[in-house]
Amino acid sequence: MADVSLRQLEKRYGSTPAVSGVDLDVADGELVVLLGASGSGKSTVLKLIAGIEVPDAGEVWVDGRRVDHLLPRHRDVAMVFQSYALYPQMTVARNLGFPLASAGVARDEIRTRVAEVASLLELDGLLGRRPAQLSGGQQQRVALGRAIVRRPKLFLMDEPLSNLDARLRAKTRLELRRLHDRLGATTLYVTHDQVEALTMGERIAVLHEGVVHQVGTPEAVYDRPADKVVAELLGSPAMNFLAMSWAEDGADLVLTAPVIDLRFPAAAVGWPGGGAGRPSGPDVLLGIRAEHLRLGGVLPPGQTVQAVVDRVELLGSERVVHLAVGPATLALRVPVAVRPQAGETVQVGFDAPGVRLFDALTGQTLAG
Amino acid sequence: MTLRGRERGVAYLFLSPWALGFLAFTAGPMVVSLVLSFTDYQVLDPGSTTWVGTGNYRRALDDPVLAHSLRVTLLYAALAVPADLVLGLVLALVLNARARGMALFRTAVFLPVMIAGAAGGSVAVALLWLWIFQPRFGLLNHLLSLVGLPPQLWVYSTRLVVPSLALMSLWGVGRSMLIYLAALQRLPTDVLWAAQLDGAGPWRRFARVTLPLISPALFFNLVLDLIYALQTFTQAYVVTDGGPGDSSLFYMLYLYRNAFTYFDMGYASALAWLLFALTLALTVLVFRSARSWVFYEGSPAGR
Amino acid sequence: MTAPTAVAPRHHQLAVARRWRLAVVYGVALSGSLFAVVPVLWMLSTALKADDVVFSVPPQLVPTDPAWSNFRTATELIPFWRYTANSALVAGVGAVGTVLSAALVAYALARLRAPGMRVVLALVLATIMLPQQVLLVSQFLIFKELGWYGTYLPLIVPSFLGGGAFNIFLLRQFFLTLPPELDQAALVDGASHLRIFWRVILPQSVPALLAVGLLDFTSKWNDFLGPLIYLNRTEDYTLPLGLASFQDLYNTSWNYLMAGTLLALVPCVVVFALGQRLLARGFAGRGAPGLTS
Repeated sequence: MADVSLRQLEKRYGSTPAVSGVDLDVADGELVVLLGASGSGKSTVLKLIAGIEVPDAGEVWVDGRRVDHLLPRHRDVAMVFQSYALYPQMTVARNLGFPLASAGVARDEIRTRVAEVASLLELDGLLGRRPAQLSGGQQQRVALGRAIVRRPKLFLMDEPLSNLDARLRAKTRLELRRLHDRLGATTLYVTHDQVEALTMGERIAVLHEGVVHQVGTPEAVYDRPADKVVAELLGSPAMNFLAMSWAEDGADLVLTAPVIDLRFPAAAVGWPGGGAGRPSGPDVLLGIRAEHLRLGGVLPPGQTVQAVVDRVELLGSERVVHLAVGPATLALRVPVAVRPQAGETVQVGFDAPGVRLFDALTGQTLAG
Repeated sequence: MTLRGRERGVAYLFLSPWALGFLAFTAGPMVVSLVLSFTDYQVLDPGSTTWVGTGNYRRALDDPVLAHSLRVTLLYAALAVPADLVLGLVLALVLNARARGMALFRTAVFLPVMIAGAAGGSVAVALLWLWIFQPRFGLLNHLLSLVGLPPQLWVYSTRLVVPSLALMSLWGVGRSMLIYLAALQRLPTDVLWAAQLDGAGPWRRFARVTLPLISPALFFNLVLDLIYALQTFTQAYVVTDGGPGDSSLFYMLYLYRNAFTYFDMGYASALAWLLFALTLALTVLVFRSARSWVFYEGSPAGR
Repeated sequence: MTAPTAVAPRHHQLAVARRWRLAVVYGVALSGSLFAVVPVLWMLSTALKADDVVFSVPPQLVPTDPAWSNFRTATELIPFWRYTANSALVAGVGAVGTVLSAALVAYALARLRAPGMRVVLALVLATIMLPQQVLLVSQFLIFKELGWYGTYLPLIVPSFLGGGAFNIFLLRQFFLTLPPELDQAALVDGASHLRIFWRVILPQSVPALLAVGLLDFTSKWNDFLGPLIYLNRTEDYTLPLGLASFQDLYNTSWNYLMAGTLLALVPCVVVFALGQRLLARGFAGRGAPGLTS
């Protein structure tokens, strides 16, 4: 296993930049998730590391060795493709053994190592089958096995769960994490699913339009997003945003928008008092997650708004209530017992600690 | 009438032209041909035809000219078929690359097929190559002289005539190339990248991944090429008429002569059935072997 | 840590490998293309040579004084246009017959159910593998008995009665890919199967029908053995036969022969090019079926 270092990676397709100035360090044995929407460049980063693409600028280092000029087969990197990319005409056993055979490993050793991996991934009974005869989950395990059997320095995973159905995905997530802990393998995991990112990653690197916006632990990225992009990407339902004008009134921060008046103690919402980190204009974006909004009950004055219930979604264990506040919308969660009706007018309270403020122009979080 | 009954009626109606044609021009002739092969049918005086039983077949087995024509045909097949399969594959692999101008090259290689028709049995092509093979004034010897090689007699040499005809048939390699190209374009690129990452070099990737995945195309081309090779007629008739001597007397040409020059229709029919049996046997062999090397997606049976 | 620098592009192993591959690709592509095209150019070059130049040693690759009149001469030495018309008749009518007939049968095999269909399909497949020689002699005798010897009937009529097993198979496979919903909608609207065939299936299958028609046209245009054994009057000859007779008459007039041959090839190329364009448009226009009218 090895550490990985990406330095100032750049890749353009024609005139469109896919990856710009990406820096990332992955420690030996760490599992880092590359999270981003489609088109964010995350798969391109994987391809650059694997050697399937050639970077226009920047370096890729694996285990203290520079590899970005080497052919894929000289990098000692294994990749699990989104489509699994199994060899369709070979049996599972031969699929698993192919990398070893390519490396000239003795046939006996191939057999033992294949058996080892097969039992690790519960593929023992399937060794004689062909990929077409396997279910999606089984194919995925074979793809994993083919990577594991090589004992490479680095694992790359390109959205390995996206082709599985929801129930299988949840189950496999756990197994993957367990596998990683057991093997201690340095892994770079690409996904667009924020739940996967939060549950799998020891650290998350958020990618957007080819640029890394934030790297940090799941808590850090979720709770203290660096900018609006990161904040929007994580959390379900997505973070609520309200565009507001700000003004300072003594120790308080006053935020106004059509039909909304809010007042918070500036310190409580992390308002930058001094010179640095202040907003560039008269507007800010107020971000607040669903779990920090309260429906009804005892609410502090100046931190509530009046809203109309638009629709309610039942999620089994709770409900998600979508509200309209003038032209804006909010989403929050309530226990199942609470049954707001569409069209109802309610009071919504804002928890001050949950408020995140972003610069309306740059999207950056306002420091505080 | 019920809906099902109506459908049945329409089905038979639509099939009736085929049924008529099949009986009149396929099944009928097959039976006639079989019967003919057991007689000495006299075209000019059908009434005096006599039954000879297996006489024609026995004569065929002892016929040295037939044996010779079979040798000629098989030699030609042994040269032309592998050459076409390999060259077609090489060209398809090369012209599948994503580079500029490939479409132009593909059209160029396919041009002879456009001209000749898919089976390559065009008179125009035969005449053209007859001229190219001309020892004194033809293109081929001229090109050889440009690189300092001695001129050859090509189709006028007993030794070279069959290889020359095989070379001529290679001109139509565009047909098999097209089939290969269709298969190559359906190759999953992910799998090839996976093979690269797994440490397989270019040759290993080709032999273990690409080739198995396009084996159906290879199989298709092999069967077609084999069948066409055994049925070679036009090239032999137009270019050499069996010459020089009988060194390019193809089986079909000998059959044609027996039927339309010597009017020995009974014998010709027997020859036809013998060729059919041979073609069938070879085709079955190829099909049998296919089970072990042709990979069809979705076939459960395994190696 | 030193400032990051990109490895010069020419050193990337992948880029280097790609460059080598590109060189090989262009080399092979060029060789293959030359092999394919040079004979045609040679044909043209010969066709343009005057009588005394044709047999110059060493042969001129590009004639210094192109004799364009050779083309006209070639058409005068044999009844060229008559032969062309004959070929066009046989190939054209034959191709139309093939397309219609094969489509009809293929439709039945693909869409209609009736006892015995599977047997029919098996027979069709078996016919594909049947080599022509087995039928050659007996077909000849049958046609002779029918009194069709010396006419175009043996060359055309079979196309209307089944249109060739291979074509049936091809079209059946194609019809199977068409969504049955359109058929069903028409059935519910009260259309007869014939109407469905004519108004629904055929318009949607233009690319496949075109492909079959073109292939059949070129194959009939180039057919040599058929006309050879069934036509006995020279004025009935098709082009391939006419060209072959050219060889006997003017054993040494290669320039006229090549000119004639080139002219004979033109229709095939034209038909092919036309077909390509129509095919492209056919593919583009698909997905807009018209059930009404």
